[in-house]
Amino acid sequence: MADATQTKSPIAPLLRFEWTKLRGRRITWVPFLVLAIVVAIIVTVFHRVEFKHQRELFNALSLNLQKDDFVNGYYMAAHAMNPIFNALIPIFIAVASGLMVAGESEQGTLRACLIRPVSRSRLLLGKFAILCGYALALSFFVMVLLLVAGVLNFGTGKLYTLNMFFNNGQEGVSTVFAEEAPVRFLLAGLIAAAGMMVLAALALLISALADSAAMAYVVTLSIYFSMVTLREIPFLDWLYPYLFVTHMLRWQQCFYDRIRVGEILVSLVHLAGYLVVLLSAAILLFEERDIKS
Amino acid sequence: MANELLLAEGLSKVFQRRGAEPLTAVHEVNLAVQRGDVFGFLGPNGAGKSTTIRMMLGLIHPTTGRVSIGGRDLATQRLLALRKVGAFVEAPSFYGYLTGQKNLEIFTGLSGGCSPDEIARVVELVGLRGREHDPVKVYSHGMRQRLGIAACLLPRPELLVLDEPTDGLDPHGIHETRELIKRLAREEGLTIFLSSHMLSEVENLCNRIAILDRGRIILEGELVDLEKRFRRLEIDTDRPAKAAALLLEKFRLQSTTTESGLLNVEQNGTSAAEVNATLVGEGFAVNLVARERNWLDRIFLELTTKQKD
Repeated sequence: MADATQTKSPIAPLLRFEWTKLRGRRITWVPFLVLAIVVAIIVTVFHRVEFKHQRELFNALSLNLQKDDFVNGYYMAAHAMNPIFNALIPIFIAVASGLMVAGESEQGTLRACLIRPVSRSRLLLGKFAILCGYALALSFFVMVLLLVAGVLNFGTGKLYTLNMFFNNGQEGVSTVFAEEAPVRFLLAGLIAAAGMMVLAALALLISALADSAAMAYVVTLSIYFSMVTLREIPFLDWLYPYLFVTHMLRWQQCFYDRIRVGEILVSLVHLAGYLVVLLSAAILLFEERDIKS
Repeated sequence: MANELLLAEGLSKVFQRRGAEPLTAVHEVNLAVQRGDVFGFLGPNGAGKSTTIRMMLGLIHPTTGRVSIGGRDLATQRLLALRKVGAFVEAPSFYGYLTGQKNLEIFTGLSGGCSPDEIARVVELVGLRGREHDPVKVYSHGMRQRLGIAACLLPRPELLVLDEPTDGLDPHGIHETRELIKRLAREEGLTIFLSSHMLSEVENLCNRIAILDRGRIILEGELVDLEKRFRRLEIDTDRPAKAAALLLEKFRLQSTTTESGLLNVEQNGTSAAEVNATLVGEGFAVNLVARERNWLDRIFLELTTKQKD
């Protein structure tokens, strides 16, 4: 705090160095490879599966659709986004964040950085900025890959989404016209990325307090998946608005017939609030922390 | 006062422990390192050396007391104070997957950066020329230590804080590192704060020392003064007990007999020549009169053992 009166350490070199460190680690690139493999598996599965269960569900909702009527690139991308954004990307972000602070603390490089004339808060903000960039890169990489692979393999068409996968089974089927789908995906990607930034802030807070990278990502993922689990329990619906995962998953509403702008804005405000609180807590605690490792 | 580059005043650290009494790791430590000093900081394991050094570098917040570097208070002007410091604590740490050069660029960049020529000069100085583009993970322990010193030297600090710089090195590496430290003090005019377990190293390199035990400074001073005060004579004679009685009677010099049968005698300003002449004059066969070799070891053990008792 007292550093405010001093010569400030410029943020640009911090960002450059954090980026150099991030890109130098082999593990940074593993998630991109994993996502590419997952997309390849999804494409293969979509080619082979008959979607009998989905057809039955559509039929139950008075939509007599055959596989070719609803399976297209958009359908594949939208349905693959769910597990990827709910599970895979959070895991990758938690790992990257764990390595950034707790991992560096464990290795001793955090100590080596902090005996330099660099402000702790700026160092943490630099790490957060790079982590957000990484989250954005992962989110858009997988979305673009899903869309390109989906469209190339299955073409375009109307996007039918079963709301039981997207909103607790409350609203039947949504239909998005093909020409509108790319914009919907862009919007979904942006909202999902905003959610990932909140997760990054949470992960950074845990990482700033933990003594080891493993502990940091185990704790982060425990918190995240506990919330996801609570979010799946129907009779806890009164709790949903208070769980940040509810707002993180708001990107799913981009695939409704009509986008509910108000609900999305409320979620974005919530996400911004969570982000500010989590990041401020991370900075305050990191400033006060004794570096003993 | 103006000559003090590093000043620690009333520095204490109490760690709160869950389910146990709070631990006072460092208690009211006062240290003053003058410009140009090579200051040896000694203490047994667990004495609080690392905690003290970490407080001096802003890694640990003191419970009480203050640290200033070059007149800048570390609590209120941390960034300006640390601009004058190059340090490694416990062991130099690097990003193993990056090259030595890239690591130097990263750490130097955090201090405001320096020119590639300056990096090349320091790489040359520490003897890593030709290996700077290798990933640090393939460096030997000695190379890492030298890279650690190189990182400390960029960009030109006034004060070097080196925590166990020869720890884990082979004899060749120890010799090289000591020579490098001597050169840095002599040729680069750096003030060096050196923490070490190796008393011979401190004796060899430092002009001032402080011994820390159980969080308290138990001895501090110029090495020359401490040597005058504590260094003894070692005498090999045919009748050590009688010689000891004679020296006590004549010069009031206390003696002890070592395990190897040598007489270990206080000096108290009496010259070795006087002692020798007296013993020879009284008919003793004197085979050896020499200055005590491991006097700092003895003092260190005596003082730290006394504290434990």
